[in-house]
Amino acid sequence: MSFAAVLSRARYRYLPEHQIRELLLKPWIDTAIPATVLLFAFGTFGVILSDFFTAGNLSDTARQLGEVGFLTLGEMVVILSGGVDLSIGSIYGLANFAAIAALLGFHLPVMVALLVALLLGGAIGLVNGVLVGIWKMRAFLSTLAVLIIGRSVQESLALHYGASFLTDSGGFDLWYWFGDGSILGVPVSLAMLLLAGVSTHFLLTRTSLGWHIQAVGGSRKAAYNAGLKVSTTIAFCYVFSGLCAGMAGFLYSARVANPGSEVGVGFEIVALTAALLGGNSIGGGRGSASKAILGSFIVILIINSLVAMGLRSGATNFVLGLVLLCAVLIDIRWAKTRSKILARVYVSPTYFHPLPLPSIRPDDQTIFAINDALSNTEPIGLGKLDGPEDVIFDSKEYLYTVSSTGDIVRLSPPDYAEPEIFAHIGGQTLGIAMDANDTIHVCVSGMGLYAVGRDRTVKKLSDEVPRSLFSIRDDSRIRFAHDLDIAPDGLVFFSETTARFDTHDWAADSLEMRGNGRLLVCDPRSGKTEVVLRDLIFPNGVCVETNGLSLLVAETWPCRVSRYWFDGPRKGQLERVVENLPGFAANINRSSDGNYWLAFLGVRTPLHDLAMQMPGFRKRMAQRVASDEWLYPNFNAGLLVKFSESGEILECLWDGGQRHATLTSVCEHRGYLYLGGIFNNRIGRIRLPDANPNWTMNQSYWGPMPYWGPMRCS
Amino acid sequence: MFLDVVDWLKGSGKYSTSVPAMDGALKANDALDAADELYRGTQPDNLVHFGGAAHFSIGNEVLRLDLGEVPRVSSVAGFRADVTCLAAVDEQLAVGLESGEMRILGGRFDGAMIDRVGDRQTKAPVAARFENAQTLLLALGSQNYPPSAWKRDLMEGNASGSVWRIDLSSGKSKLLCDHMAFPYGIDLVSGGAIFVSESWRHRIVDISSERPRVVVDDLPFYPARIAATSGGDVLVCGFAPRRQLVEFILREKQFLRRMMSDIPERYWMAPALSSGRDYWEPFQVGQIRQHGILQPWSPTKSYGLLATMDIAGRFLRSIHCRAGGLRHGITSAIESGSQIIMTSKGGGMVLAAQAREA
Repeated sequence: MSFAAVLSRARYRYLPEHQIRELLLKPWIDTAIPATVLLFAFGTFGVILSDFFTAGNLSDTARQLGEVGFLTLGEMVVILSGGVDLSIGSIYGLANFAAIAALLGFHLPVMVALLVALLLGGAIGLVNGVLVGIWKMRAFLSTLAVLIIGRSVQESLALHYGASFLTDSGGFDLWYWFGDGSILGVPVSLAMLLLAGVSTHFLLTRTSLGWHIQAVGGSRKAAYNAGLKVSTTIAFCYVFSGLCAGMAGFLYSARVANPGSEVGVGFEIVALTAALLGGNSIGGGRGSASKAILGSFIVILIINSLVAMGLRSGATNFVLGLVLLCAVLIDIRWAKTRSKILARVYVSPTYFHPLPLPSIRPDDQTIFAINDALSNTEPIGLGKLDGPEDVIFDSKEYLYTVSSTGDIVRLSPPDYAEPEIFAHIGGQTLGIAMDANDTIHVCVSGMGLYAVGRDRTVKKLSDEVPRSLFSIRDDSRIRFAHDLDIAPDGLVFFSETTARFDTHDWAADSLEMRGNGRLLVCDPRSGKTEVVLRDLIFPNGVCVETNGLSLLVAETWPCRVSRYWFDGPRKGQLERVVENLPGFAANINRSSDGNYWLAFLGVRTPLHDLAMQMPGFRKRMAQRVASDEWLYPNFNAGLLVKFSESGEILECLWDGGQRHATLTSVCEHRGYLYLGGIFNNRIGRIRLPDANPNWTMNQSYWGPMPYWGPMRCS
Repeated sequence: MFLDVVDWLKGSGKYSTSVPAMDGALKANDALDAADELYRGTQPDNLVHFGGAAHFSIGNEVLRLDLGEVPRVSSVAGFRADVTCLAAVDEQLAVGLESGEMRILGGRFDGAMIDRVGDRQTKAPVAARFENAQTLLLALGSQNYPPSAWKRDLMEGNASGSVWRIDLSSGKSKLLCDHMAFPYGIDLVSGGAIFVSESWRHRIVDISSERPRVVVDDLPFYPARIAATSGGDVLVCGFAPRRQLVEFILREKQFLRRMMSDIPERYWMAPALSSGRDYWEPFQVGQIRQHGILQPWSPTKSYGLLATMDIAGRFLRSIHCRAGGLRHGITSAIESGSQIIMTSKGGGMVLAAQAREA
């Protein structure tokens, strides 16, 4: 291998490019942007202002953060549901006034004052909720109206009664504690904010109410059609916002004790800016508590630093307005392009070095030479089958196959003319196998491993494995179960083709050529599933060998078959059996003479072999070229081989590519070969003149059964 | 400059790989499959009217096609090298050869040979047209490769072709247009303009004025020969379709280099005169047979297309042979009465279709 190739291979092996891209799929990655902005602002102002990092300055910032944070938290929940709450400024002011009045005017205990503030906030929030949620008025206008009314009430109250609350006779230690105290060094308001943030996060992500809020914000019509209670959910959001604003007002009263009329003026803009700056989408549906807190942190930082720099209040509002504009613009662009960007960067191809392509030319007379051995196949179920990826017989001569619509299809002996749907499972049914009792075991991609009994009942055997410790992507779900086989003791070994893509994206996984696949084992009695082998490159066919101690697994893109010992003295060992095949290995099945049949999805081409060594080319192709035009191996060639236990190729049979393109499975039964293809609309059958006419796979696995002849199924 | 870099990163603008759709008058059909087969041979090409009958070339022979109850083909002349272009006027026949020279048969300049024009050797004569009995317009495809290596010329992105006006009596030649990307077809159209089909740039230009004028650009196929009809229109042959993957590969220099050095030419991902017969040909995802059927709209490296265009560059009609068909690689066509005769170089046939259809 050239030096450039060695370098390329090392780069792709050691740089976890795909894991970095998997990070981008995480829902919390949106928060990375405001977090970076925060760090940037922190750094900038820390450099500009000399006394930025003093304890006093940070502590004061932290206390203001508590108040603004509560406002932003409430606003965030309202935005999340698709609305907007402009009245929080006046709720804040009114709650502040009410708390001071309760304490200094009516001499009530501190906790009662807190309750008064909260109840007032909640009541005004309820008014908002009824107006917007239940009477379906426009959020902007009705909350604006509440803002104006609340503001005028606050002004007149402050005018008439404000002076009488100025004398503070003291004795409100608890109240002062709320304003100036600390818990473990953290200011009380900030600590309460963090507690509220965690609770809100829990509410939004782990409770159905939170999911309903996000659903209503994501698409109100769809949520309504899904039967969610849209009105009450929206009303709840406004109540929540009012409660948060009430809490913020109380904390402000504890810190400053100012019953003036200008308290809370303009705070709705601050809260809105903070919510948007944190990355909550203005249209609704996407947002989190951490984003709200981050956003309020950034806003407080900017305001305080601008004030410390000597700018007047008009200038700070100007800067805030600009920042809001930028945040809205970025939000809109990001919402539009997010899924596009993610789709573009997710596919991360890696380097693969193929062995020299074996010749298939008839002139070269190798074992793989092109021939017309399969030109005389007769079709079964022509035009009536859709995607018969695998074929199997039960002990009573019935033929079972699968379909692309998730059915188990059965054809009856002796002529196998009319297919009937034996059972419907869903997803796409792929590999199929029978156990000793003629119970069908089938891999359903998109769903997992299923069993269908003689009475047609469908039972799920397994759809998850323990999540691997260091995987960024959640690989506990079995996304793409492909083929299976059953060991003598009943354990089911099955291949999970890729953990990084779903079935409809199989072409993208082929571009990657990464070891995204696994071999799993499931105990049908207990349902416990474990991972046996990892990092297999598109594992496809699985076949338990005649010795009952090992199984063969085909890896499609590397064009090879390996043997894994699952029992016996060599348990746990993995060895290569056949390498450097001229095509892409699919399913493996036993043959009547103690060897194994292997079907091929397609043949290797020289240009595709070259592309395997150039992952940058494949990555750019995935991003810039339509998926229909991607360079691929030749999937229109129908090809199968027979190989021995030692890996020697004994026979090679070709179809002209007209009838059996993308041949996925070969099943030998009573001297005939049955060919199944995942994109085909028929099963092909051809007679093998030299094969044992009484041999069946069923007997080979489970022992001789008396041959009753064709029977009606009970 | 900055926008250029942005374009390069995004794959837009100059670096875009998108190909225009075949729509409108160029909408796909199967009409070529219904055309009459007049003759079958290995890679027929270079149809031209001469001496009252159609002449074409197969390999190193020039053949005459007599239409009648049964089409008859007879050999007219044979040469040392393969014939790459034909032109005729009165009794003169100009024959371009793979070895690079042009030979004149019959008429005043019988036996003349042209192997130099202006400052260069004639390496690849790919199209020619007599303006009158003593003036010949000659199109040289490339200065880097002979005509049989056209695929390499395309994939390297060369534009070393040129069009010359040669005065046969004095032997003097005048350069009409240089740095052309494979001028595969040339003809005089009504109004006196000289149309040249510039294949690798997938466009047709008019070189009769001082500065070449683009007649039609961004064609969805690679144009081959063109022929003016009696009705004032122009027949345009398309010998292969443009593919988004090929456009992409043309911009991937490292991959191109390795493909051209490591892999035999017939297995390149490049336009071809015929395709689909060899298992080792490059394959594209959309070609996978679904339910045993190769979809006619699947991506394909070869295609059959003959279109009629007016002299303003608007297409009027077209006949196609789609993916999986046999009559691909239409390289030349001439009008013959109410019919159009064309050569399918990839399918190895000479075909005839009704003029009003194509």
